[in-house]
Amino acid sequence: MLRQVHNTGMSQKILLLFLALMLIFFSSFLLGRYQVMPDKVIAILASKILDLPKTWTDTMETVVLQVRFPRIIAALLVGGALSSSGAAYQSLFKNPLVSPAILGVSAGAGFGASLGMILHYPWWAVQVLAFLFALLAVATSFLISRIFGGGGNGSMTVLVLGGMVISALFQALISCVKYLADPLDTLPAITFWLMGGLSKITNVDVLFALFPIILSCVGLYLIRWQVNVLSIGDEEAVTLGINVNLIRFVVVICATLMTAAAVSISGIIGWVGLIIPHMARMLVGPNFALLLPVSLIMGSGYLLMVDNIARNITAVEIPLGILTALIGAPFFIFLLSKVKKGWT
Amino acid sequence: MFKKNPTLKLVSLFLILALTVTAFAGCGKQQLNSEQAKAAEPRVIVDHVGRNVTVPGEINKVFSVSPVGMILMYTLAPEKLVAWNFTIAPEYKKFILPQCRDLPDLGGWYANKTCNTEELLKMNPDIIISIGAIDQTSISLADRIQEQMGIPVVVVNSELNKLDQAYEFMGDLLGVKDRAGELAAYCRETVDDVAGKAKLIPEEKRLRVYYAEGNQGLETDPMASQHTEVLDFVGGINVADVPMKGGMGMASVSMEQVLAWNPDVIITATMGPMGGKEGMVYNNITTDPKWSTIKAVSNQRIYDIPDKPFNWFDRPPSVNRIIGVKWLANLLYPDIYRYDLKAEVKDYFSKFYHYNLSDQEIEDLLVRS
Repeated sequence: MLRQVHNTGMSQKILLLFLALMLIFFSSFLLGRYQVMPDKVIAILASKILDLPKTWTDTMETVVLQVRFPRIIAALLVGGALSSSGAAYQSLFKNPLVSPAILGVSAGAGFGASLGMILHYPWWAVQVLAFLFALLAVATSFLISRIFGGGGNGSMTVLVLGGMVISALFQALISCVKYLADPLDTLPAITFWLMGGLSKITNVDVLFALFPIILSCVGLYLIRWQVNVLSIGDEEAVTLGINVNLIRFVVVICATLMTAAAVSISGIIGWVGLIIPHMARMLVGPNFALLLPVSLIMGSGYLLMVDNIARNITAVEIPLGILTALIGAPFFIFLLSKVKKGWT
Repeated sequence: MFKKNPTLKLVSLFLILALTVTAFAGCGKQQLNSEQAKAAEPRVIVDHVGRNVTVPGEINKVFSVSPVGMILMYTLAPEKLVAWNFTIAPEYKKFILPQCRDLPDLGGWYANKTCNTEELLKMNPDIIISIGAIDQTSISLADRIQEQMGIPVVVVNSELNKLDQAYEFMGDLLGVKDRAGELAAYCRETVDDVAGKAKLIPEEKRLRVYYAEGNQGLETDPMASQHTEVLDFVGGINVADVPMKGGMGMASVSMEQVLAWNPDVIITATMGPMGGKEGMVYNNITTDPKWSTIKAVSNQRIYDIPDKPFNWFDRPPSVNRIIGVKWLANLLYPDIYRYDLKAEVKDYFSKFYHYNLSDQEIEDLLVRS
């Protein structure tokens, strides 16, 4: 009986969050530096499904479908990916200080992108390089834990240490590329990329990131119960017949894939993957089966709102990474003062 | 002890020998220096920010802290330039004097560059010049470099309409007054002519221009930035009317903002003589359907900024912009400025860059412009 009531409360919370996300989603289409009246926006969007007479200009259509649409979807994807991978890592490592960047994924992506830019590759190749180096960085951290970790809890510590080392290594390589970069154009480009932003997003980029992110989300959701048991303790998990190493491996793969895909189209955006899982945990508790969808929804909504600020406040863009940190850091302190629920 | 160890004895002998030779070499150098000093006594000059600097009477070797001064030096007295501030890409080298092509790249004190100080000391320049926009940072940097290197550092202002004074000052300093006078006169005439004619452009005819930089053309430099001085100067309106100034510049803007600005003309930055891909931004913008409804693109008024051997518009903001002024002025308002651009380019290249362009080369330079 009690459990029933509890669950109904939870589904109401999730439903409300989802409705809020939908509201932010649709209102985001109305916001922008190029003025398009709301009725025109709706007509343009509807024209994709219905056969409507054209009452808008070509530019309006470009703005809504080519500029705002990919950007809004990208904000949803990136925000969702960062916060759900953050939630997965926090559960896996049983540690609230963990962010998606823990195993070196951001530093790797940063190096890949910088490398692409200093070689003056076309933009899609820069993204692919970012994606590949992100995967390479995490693979290396994982390999280090496999070789030197021994197994059990020791290997988790070595995994985190390996991640730190690999991050530091790739940070040094980024600095190296920045130092070699042409200060008149490549250096600013690299700097912008490292500050994160969605101003260059196109529909193709969204397609590029869509599959890894959705696939990984589904993957994490399928093993939600195992992750839950794992966050209680390894011995308990083994007793319940769970292959601990396999589950860890799957979590790392999913979280890495989705973060790498997100970062490769958005650049490095900090704080989202750290604070959103905390907010979600304050709302629904540590149960990963709830934490995952709630983090996903809240992360998407949060990044979408922040991106709306970034693209609307001034004529020049404010890099997203700056905004998420400026908003995130004070908010995190506020959260710490309010914290009531446990970490695990 | 020596008796017991012949190896040590040998080493000691060698050391003594080495020391003696070095001492003599040192003497020789000193003598040479004092001979030079006799020819021209050191003098104290006042630079553009009022610093008193003691410089040798005869200056034959000059290094610049950044590309701005480097280009000015190259146009004025290439034989006195000891090193570049960046490596010039192979396809740009053909416009550079053969004796200067293989000068080393020693970096400098700008942006992310550091100077290889020992390498520079080895070259032993007579003075170091710091030319560019002047602020407190550049002044104190000049003092620091002078302190660290023990080489006099001279600060010179190089705003677009003060380039003639920069040349005259440098000509005086380096003892190349005639050549400096010629180049200064050219700068002055160009600046005066353009400034005069810019006033004649009726307000309603002024074109709104977007300066597209960065990989995708979604970075720009706003009005009043030193990077868009040429545009403001020839009477164009920079659509990015954001108050922002200083530093390396470049601000990100969204596609939507560019659509909202809907500029009459777009000028695209090529990625310069430092290894970028030619026409990259230009090709991106002309082929991307998102840009196609913008007035500048649909009217085919999009132009790639020529960048040989140095960018004509910006980055570095030096004397390379003088021909850029004529190019952009003519491009935006041909009825008012009426330059014979090809003749002007030819003339400028022979005067400033010591290079006689063929007609084919001029065509190539202006291919997308």
